[in-house]
Amino acid sequence: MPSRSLTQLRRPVARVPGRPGVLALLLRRPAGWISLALLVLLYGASFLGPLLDHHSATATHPLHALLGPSWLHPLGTDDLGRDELLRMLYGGRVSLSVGLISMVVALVAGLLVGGLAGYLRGAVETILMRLVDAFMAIPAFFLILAELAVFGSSPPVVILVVGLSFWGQMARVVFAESLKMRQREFIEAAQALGASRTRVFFRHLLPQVVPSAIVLGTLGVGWSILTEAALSFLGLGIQPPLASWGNMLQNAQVYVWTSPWLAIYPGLAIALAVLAFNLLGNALRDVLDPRIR
Amino acid sequence: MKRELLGPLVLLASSLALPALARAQATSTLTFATNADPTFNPWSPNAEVESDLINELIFEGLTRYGSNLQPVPALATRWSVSKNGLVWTFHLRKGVTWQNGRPFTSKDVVFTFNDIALNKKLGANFASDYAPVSQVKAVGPYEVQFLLKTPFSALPSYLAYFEGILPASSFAGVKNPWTLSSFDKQHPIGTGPYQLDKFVPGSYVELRRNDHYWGGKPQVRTILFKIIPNANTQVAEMLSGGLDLISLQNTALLGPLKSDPNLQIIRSQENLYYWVALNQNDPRFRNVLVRRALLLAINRPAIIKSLLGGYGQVATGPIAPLQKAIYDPKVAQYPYDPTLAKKLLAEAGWLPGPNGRLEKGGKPFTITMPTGQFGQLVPMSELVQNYWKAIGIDVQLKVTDWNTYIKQVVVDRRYQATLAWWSTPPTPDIGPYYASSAAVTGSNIPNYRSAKLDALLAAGQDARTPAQEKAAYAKVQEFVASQLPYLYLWYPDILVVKSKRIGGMSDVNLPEAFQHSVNWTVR
Amino acid sequence: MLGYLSRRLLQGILVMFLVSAATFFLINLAPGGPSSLMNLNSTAQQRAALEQQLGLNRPIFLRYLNWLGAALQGRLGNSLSQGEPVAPLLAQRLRHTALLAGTALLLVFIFGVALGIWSARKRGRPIDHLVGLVSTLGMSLPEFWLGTLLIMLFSVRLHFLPASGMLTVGAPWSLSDLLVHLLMPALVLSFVLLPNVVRFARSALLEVMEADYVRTARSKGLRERAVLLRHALRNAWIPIIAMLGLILPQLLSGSVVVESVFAWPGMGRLAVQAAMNRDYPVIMATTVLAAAIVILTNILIDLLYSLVDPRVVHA
Repeated sequence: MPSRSLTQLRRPVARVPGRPGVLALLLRRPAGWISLALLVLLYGASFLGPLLDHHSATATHPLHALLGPSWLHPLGTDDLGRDELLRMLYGGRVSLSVGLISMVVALVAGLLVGGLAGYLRGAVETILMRLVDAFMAIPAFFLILAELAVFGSSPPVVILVVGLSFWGQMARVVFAESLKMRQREFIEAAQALGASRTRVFFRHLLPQVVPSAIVLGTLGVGWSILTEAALSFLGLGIQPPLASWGNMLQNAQVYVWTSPWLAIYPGLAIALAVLAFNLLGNALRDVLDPRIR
Repeated sequence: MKRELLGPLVLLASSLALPALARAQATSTLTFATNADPTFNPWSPNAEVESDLINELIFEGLTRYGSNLQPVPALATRWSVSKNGLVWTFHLRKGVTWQNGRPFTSKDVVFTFNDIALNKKLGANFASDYAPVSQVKAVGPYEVQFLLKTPFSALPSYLAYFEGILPASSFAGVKNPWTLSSFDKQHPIGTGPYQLDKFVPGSYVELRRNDHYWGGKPQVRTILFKIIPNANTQVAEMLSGGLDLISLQNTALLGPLKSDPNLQIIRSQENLYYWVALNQNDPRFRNVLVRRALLLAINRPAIIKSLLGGYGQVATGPIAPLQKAIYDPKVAQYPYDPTLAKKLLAEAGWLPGPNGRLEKGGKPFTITMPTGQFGQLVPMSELVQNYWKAIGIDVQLKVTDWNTYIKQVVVDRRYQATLAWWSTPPTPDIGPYYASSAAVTGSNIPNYRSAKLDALLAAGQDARTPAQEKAAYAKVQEFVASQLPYLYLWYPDILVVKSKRIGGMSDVNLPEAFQHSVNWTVR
Repeated sequence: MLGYLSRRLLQGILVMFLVSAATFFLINLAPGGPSSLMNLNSTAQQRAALEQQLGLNRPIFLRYLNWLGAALQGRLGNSLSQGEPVAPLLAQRLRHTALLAGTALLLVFIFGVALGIWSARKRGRPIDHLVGLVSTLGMSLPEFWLGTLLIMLFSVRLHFLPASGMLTVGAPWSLSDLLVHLLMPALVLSFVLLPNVVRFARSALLEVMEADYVRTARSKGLRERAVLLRHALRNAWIPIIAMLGLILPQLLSGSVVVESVFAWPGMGRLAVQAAMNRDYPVIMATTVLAAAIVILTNILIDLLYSLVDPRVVHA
């Protein structure tokens, strides 16, 4: 059966001494440095920005609600009179963390399950990969809806649920890669030299499949930021008073007529962050897999 | 109660795609909208706000609301109460036929109450409103008697509140009326001015006028209800030229509609008030000083000005100003005064600790406050949280989806404070929400128990004359305003935006207007 | 071949069983209950009566077995919030979703493959970068945000397209009416999916363009167009078909949000409402149906593979 994945990746070119590193290669391409710069800006502003302002992001001032931009409030205020810029920065902390951490969850789960299935094959493969099939057969959204209804919408749950809805795709890519890798000379050589299976798996096989998984994972961060936003749109994501770009967008829905900026800022921020991750993912793929450009 | 959303109702007069046809229809068709698939049986637990107004067009109660919201004749022409207050007699209208041609008689009334409303196995909507009724008895084909366990002066008013009579013959031999989809989804039969023509789930409901309506032939030939769940989409449809009437859930949506010269904005009133419940199972909140302090700490006019866009007024109790004859504004008031709030809390033993947080016996004052996603409950709760924080109380807001919230707050009563609302019939009877018997299992959400209030409520139900009623409920209002079983927040206006094309529709509120649809015209 | 097919089907059935069990236990463990019980003004007595009627007071394991037994006989039960049988409800909603998703898919394939080929042929040139950027941008926009913006522009400002629904209520059915309602939701849905298809078509084409037989054809002196149509495209179809299997779950998920924004009476909206209302039979039916669609499509695609490309042999 042919393996299929969102990003059909081939084995990355092993690093040759003397050739520039991944980061250097990335910085040579416009998509690479633009996206990296954008991400540094977004993460930097979200995590460092609020430190400059001692105001509380949750303190409400109903009599100063829905103000337009001014020197005091560069992006205006929201429906409860909170500074919109500060909310955006705090919301960024949450949205950007949810995106990144949930993808780490998917990466770890995908690497372990896909890698083990591809390396050990046999019954392990059948069980693990059918499990992946089951997960993949439920459209992610339906699964997430059910899970959030059960476990509630606290940030750790949202992170876990979003991450686990992506791990199947990750596992399939890693599985396909591992299948190819295990045939290769260096794995066979390591086994012939008497290395334990655990050692071969973690020291020899996994490092070879990690780059492909990282490319998929980078694209996946954007996907999970979007997913959190969509969940919040349906009222199931991160819950107020904690701000996230997703729930800010949802909260802004009734104000699109009178205070459209409340919907435009978080929408733009989401689009920018996701765009940056997508560009970075594409650039990474080009760097790690230079055959197709 | 869910009935706040009465309004996701939208009138769409014509189509965009086919202007010629639409113009032809414009004289004879009104198109409304609702936010979900309706259930055409007002008593069905599946019939909620999305069904209420549609059912008012198809079904009729024994009474309906007059322009001052007093019960006036509908299927009953007159009624009287026995001297001991325990037997109400209703004389039924003669010559009324069901929409399938069969005659309407006392059998139908007896069936609707004894077999549906009072049948404990069914759990019908409004069942808890009829706790004082033991049974309904037919006295000949055109007279029924309600036999009561305790006096029930509010009965005629309750009968007008969405409580349509069902045709007994349609339910003959039916074990579970809630799964009879041939009736409540396909062929409902009422006595009202409109009957169901077609229902396409997820899409629209089409009603056509009942040519044999006892009150005369309605002037508007067809009424369509479009099913539109999203409030913004409803406004967009309205602005894109099609809609004639919309009831707004949020005053922010008013902005784009205000400037349209074809529309008029009506500030209608319902008996609707928002409150904060403080769980009386928690000993901290049994102290009335604490309850008063927590209300004093909330700047209600500021919240009304911002979140309600100024459309509302500070609530003084459970009886809203629209009950003009009963409403008493001269009760204890709690204007925003954080200093006084802190003083009262100090009297109750809550003193500021080293970090400014209130504490008593070394224990900090923290409140867990669950909130459900519904309307503006979340932002309202966030504001209350911040006002309480400002006097040194740590409030943990826990936001969940509506369903989970109900389970936690209403079913399990697992909360310390919570913000919600009651929308009740325009009757001063507040027993279902305040009586000790309704604590824990009923709608007495704060689990407030007071023998004195129970006695005052019983006296109100036993009133025989308007003067007696006014006097009895003045005492009730005075008591609840001073003891605060709930912290009263505000009476919001229900904003209805309607096209100037519609004529003959009263502006009191939509439930009342829909009971008089026979008078509507299209200009 | 037959052996392969039956094995795949068998595995598919096993997966469906897993999906149904997981979903059933998940949703029944969720706090809350059917919306007829979970009502701000319902009393304990009303709730007890309804629980009894709906059989919700029986052990969960027993209820699952009951559901499974009935489902195997094709009975999906009654919707708890509608009181109606689930099967016809679902059939109707599925038709509407199929119409929306099918249109979006068609748009996505026409434009996606065309853009992909164009982009591949202009590889490295500004056009290639532009297509890449625009499609990446499409992937980055939240679809509900895009939908709201489109409604504000085309329905509210320009009065050009209807804001919601599938047909004009009260007007006789007409194709043009359906199409104007279909346009915005289908566009939003396809815009979100477009990037994947563009990128996929592009890389699939590039890959075969570098294959030996294409080089041979080229070296024979065939014109570029002939090479592209006769050799490269034929082989590039395989991964493009494979793409369908990948974007199908995305398409179903995307339709959940898009249907909510545009009030499209489809399965996605039904699923969200069912989740909010804890309408257990409807949640079960929509989830299992969505899973079945995905599984069957994947099997079909694998079969198609072997038809398009005889070199792929299923043992």
